[in-house]
Amino acid sequence: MTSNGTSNDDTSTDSTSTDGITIDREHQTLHVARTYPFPIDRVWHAWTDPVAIAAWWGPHEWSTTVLAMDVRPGGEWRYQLGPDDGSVEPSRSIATYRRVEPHLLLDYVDALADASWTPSDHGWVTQVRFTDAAGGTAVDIVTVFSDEDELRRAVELGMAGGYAEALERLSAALER
Amino acid sequence: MDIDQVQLRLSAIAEPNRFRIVELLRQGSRPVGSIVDELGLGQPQVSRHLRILAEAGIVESTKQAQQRIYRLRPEPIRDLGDWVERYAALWSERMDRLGDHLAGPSEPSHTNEDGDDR
Repeated sequence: MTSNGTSNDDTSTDSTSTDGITIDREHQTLHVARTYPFPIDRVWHAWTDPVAIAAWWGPHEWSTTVLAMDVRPGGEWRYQLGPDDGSVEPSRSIATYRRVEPHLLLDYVDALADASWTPSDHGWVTQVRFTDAAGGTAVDIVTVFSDEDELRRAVELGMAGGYAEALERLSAALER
Repeated sequence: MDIDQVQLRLSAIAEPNRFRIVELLRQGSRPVGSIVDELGLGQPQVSRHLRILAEAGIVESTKQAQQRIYRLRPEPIRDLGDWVERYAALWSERMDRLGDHLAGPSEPSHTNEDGDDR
């Protein structure tokens, strides 16, 4: 397994050097680690404020519309995600928070919803941890998938277009 | 396979025209000219896309007479078919956007709190 950089090993000055993504196929988990040079309250705010999260949640040139965000255990975060050019119908998602520990932990179950906001049976758990990291904030995300096909559908229906778009920008950086 | 490699391949393949090239080559190897005809793009554009795909290890080419024949390398395509990796790249991109959001002034952010040591 290639999980370099998931420990707080600060041997490099590059703020993105601790980034890492680990895919654990056996347990169907994805672990994303990223450190930001900003204090926890700002990072937490970006995750828990409906206006702030809409600014970055979706791919480039896609819009996230947050219809509800009730960040407490049992509370819901409802959002639509669609491309700005209207080429794909927006997808609807309902995330239900299971655990909320301010500035420390968000734990929610995410499910696709239909037009009447009825969530599908399958959801997947996402856990986001926030930790102090030398003047910045380390964000550790673990997502556990309960069902592969549901996830595939989510990615393909909800994000495929914008995802390609977003990756194109990433590609520009990588091509250098 | 390391994630940088995955991201490189995903990035290469995610661009719509390169995606079309890959879809085209799924049907079998083709000379550049045929790809140009199918895509309706200029030869320089197609060559650039093919170069990027080749650098990412997604396609390989052989020279036959006047033309280069391109084909898919099977292994990366199999890997890229894996939704987990696509999902991983999605999260990676999302985290990039979060970083941009935090760094950027796009939001009317109250700057009354200063960094402690600067």
